[in-house]
Amino acid sequence: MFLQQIVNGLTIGSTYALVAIGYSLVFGVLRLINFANGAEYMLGAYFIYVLMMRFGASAPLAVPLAVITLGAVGYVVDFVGLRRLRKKNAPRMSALISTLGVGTFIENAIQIWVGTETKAFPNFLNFGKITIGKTIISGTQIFIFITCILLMLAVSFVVYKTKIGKSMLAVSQDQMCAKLMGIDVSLVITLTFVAAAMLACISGVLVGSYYQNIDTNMSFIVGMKTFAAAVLGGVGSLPGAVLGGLIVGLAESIGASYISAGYRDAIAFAILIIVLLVKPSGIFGKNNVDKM
Amino acid sequence: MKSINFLKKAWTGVIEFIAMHQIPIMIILIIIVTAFPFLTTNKYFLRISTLCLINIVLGLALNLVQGYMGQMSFATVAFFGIGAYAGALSVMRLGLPSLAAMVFGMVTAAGFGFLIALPTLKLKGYYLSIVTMGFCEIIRIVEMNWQELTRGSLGIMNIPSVTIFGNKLKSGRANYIIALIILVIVTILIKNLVNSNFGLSLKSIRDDDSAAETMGINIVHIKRVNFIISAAICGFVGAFYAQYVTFIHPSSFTSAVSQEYIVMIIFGGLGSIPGTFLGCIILTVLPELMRGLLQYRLLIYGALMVIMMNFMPGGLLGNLDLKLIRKKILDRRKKTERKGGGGE
Amino acid sequence: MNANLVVTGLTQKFGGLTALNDVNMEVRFGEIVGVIGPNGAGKTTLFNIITGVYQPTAGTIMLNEKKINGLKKYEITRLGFARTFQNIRLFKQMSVLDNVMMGMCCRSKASIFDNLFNTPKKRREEKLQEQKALEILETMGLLDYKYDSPASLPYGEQRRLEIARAMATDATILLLDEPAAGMNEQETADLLITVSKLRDSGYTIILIEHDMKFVMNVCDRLYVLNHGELICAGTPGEVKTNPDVINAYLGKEEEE
Repeated sequence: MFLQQIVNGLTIGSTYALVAIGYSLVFGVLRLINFANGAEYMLGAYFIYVLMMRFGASAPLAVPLAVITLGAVGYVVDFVGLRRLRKKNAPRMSALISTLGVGTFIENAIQIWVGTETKAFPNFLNFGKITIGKTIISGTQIFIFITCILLMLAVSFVVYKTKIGKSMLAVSQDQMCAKLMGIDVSLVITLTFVAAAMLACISGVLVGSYYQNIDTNMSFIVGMKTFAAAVLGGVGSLPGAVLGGLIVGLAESIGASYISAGYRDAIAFAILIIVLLVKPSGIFGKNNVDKM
Repeated sequence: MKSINFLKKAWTGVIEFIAMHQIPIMIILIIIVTAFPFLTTNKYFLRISTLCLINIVLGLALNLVQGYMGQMSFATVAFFGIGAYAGALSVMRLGLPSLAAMVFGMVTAAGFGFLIALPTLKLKGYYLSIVTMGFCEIIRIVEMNWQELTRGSLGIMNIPSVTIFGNKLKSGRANYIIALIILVIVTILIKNLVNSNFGLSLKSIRDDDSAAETMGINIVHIKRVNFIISAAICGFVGAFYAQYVTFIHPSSFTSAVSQEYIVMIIFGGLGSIPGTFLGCIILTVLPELMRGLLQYRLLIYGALMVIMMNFMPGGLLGNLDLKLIRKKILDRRKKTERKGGGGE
Repeated sequence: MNANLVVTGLTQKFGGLTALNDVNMEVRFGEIVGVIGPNGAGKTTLFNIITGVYQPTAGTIMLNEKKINGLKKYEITRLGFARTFQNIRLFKQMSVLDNVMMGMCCRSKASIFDNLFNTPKKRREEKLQEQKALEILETMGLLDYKYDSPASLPYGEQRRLEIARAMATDATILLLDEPAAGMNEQETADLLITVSKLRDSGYTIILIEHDMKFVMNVCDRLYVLNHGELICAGTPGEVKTNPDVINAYLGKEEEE
C-alpha cells in the first residue's frame, strides 16, 4: 500500500516537476510568475485529445505536432502579453495580470471549443505492468518517469552547457549587463517562454494519458500545485523545481490515501504555506537582497 | 485630430467640474440611487442593482489591496464566502440577530485575513497572489467537504432574511437600501483611509517598497493591517449577502470568481474609488444586458486584462485623483488672483 | 571627541567578495562629512549598512553610544537617519507634495482608527504635516511643483526632492548618495548653497560624491575608501595631499 503510493507519487510528481521547471525558467529570466503556464499545460492535453479523438491522428504524429504548436503558443504569450510591457518598463503587477489574462483566455477558448465536461483521453502509453509483491508498477508509469527524467537532464544540459543556456543564466543575473555584453535579451526571453510551454505541453499529455481523462479544471489545479513545487524547491532553481515537484507528488499521493481523498488538492497549498512560513526562499533558493 | 483635442478638453472640463463640486454631486447621486427602488417595481432590476452595490463594496475592498498596495489578491471572494458561511451559520445555529451576524462574519473573515497576512505579507511581490489563489481553493474544498458544518455541495438553504427591530425585510427594496447604506459607509471609510497617512504609506509601498521602508515605514505592519481591513469588509458584506440571497453554495466563492473582481477594478481603475464604481457597475450590468454573449464572458475578460495592461494600465479612471485636481485648481485660482491684485 | 555616530571595524562580505574591510569612522554633530573613492570602493555599501539594508559581517555602528546595526530599516529611520538614493527612487505615482508628506508618515501619531474615521486628531495632524511639507518644499525651492508628478521634474530637482523627502522624516542625520550626480554647473552650485544651509540649520550630513570641487568646498572632513578599505581620513586639505589618495585616483585613471 505504502510502496504503491510512493510509485504513484513519483509518477505524478515527475510530471509536476516538468511544469515547475517551466515556472523556474521564466522566473529566472524575468522575475515573473507566468500564470499562463497552467493553461499551456491544459492546452497541450486538449490539443492531443482533439487531434486523436476527433481527427483520428496517431500518437507519433499528434504528440510532436502538439509540442511544436505549444512552442508557438509560448511565443505568442510572450509577444502578445509581455513584450510591450517590457519595453515600457511597466510595474511587475501589470505583467502578472497580463499573463493571467492570457491564461484565462486560453482556458475559456478551450472550454468553448471542446466543452466543459470531462473527456476520455486516449491511453497511447499502455505497456502492460510489473507486479512486485503487492505493488503494481504500470508501463505507463515507468515511461512517464523516464521521459520526465530525460527531459530534466536535457533542460539542465541546455541551461548549464550550451551557449543559449549560458545567455539565459546571464540574463537572469543582470539583464542590463547581459544586454551590454551583446546578448539578445529579447530572444533569450522568447526562447524561455517557448521551452516552458513545450515542457508544460509534454507534462499535460503524459498526465492525460496516465489518468485517461482530462477536464477543464486541470489548468488551475496543476498550475497551483506546480507553483507550490517551484516555491518549495526555490523559485528559479532547476534542481529545486525537480525536487519540489517530486515532493509535492509524493505528499499528495500519500496524504490522499492516509488523510482524506477529498482534501487531496489542498495538500499542495498546505505545503506552500508551510514553506512560506519556514523558509520562503525554498530548499535551493537564495535570499535576494535588492540593490539600492 | 481636432475632434480628439476637443474631446480631451471637454473631458478635462467635466472632470474639473466634478472635482470642484464633489459634495453637491455626491448628494444628488445619493438621492437618485436612494429613490431608484421606489421608482421601479421590477424585481429583476432591483436584484441586479443590489448585487451591483455588493460588487462595488467587494471591488473597493480589493482595490485597497491591489490598487493602493499594489499586490494582486484572489482572496476577495474567499473572505466574502467565509463571511457568508459565518453569517448564515451564526443566524441559523446560534440565533444571532442580523447585524450581529454581519459583525460575526466580519470578525471571522478578518481572523482568516490575519492568518494569511502573517506569513505572506512579510514577503514581497507575487507570493500574495499565489497564496490567496491557493487559499481560495482550500476554503472551497473545506466548504465542499466539511459536511456537518456547511452541508457540502448541497449548500445552505433557507437562510433567514435580514431582520431589523424584529421586522423581517424580505422585500428587494429594503435589502437594496441596506446594501446602499453598507456601500456608503464602506466608501467613506476607504476614502478616509486612502487619504490619510496610512494611505500615503500604502501608495509608497506600491511604488517602491524598499524606498518606503527606508523612509521609516513599517511596511509589513501596514500591509498586514490593510489586508485585514480588506478581509473584514468582504466578510461583513458576505454575511449580508447570505441573508439577502438566502441560499449559498461553495461554487459561488472560487478564485475564478475572484478574478472577475480583479477584472472589474482593472477595467475601472486601479487605485481609484470612482474607477471602482464605474468598473463594477459596467461589468455587473453589461453581462446581464448581453445574455447572448454569456458563454464568451470569461474569454472576453481574459482578453480585456491583456488589453488593459498593455494599453491602459491605469484603467478607465486610473490615477484620477479628484482631491489633487481640486487642489490644483484652487492653487491656480489663487495665483491668478494674486497676479490680478499686483497689476492694479 | 564628542562623536555622534561611531562606526567601528565595519566589514561586509558578499560570498567571497569583501565590499568593506575594517572601516572606522566618526561623525560629529553638525558636520558635513564626505565619503569619496573610486567606483566600487564600497561607499554605497557603507550607506546601505548604516541605513539597515545590509547586516554587516562584523563591526558596530553606534549612535550616541547606542548600537544601531541589527535594527530594521524603518527603525533606523525613526532614530533620525534619512537617506537619498544614487539612482533616484521617488514615488512616481504620487504628487511632489505627497512624496514629501509620505516622509512624515513614520512620525504619525494617528491610529488606524483615527485614519478610518477621519477624527479631528487626524485632521489636525494632517494640517500640521501639510504646512511643514510646504515649508520644506519652499526651502528646497520646489514649491511651484507641489502638485506635479515627480517624473515631470528636471533631474536636478528630482535630486532635491529626494533630499526634501529625507528631511520630512524629521531626520537629524542626512545621508546623501551622489546628490550632485547628473547636475549641471549651475545646479551643483545651488546645491552647494543648499547643503551648507542645511548644516547651518542643524543637520548632520554624510555625503557620497564624485564631484571633487563640490566635495572639497562643502565638506568639513573626508573619508576616502578604496577597494573596501579606508585609506585616508581628514580635512579636504589633508586628503588632497595624501599620497595614498593620489595613488588610488591616478590608478583609476590609468585603468580607464
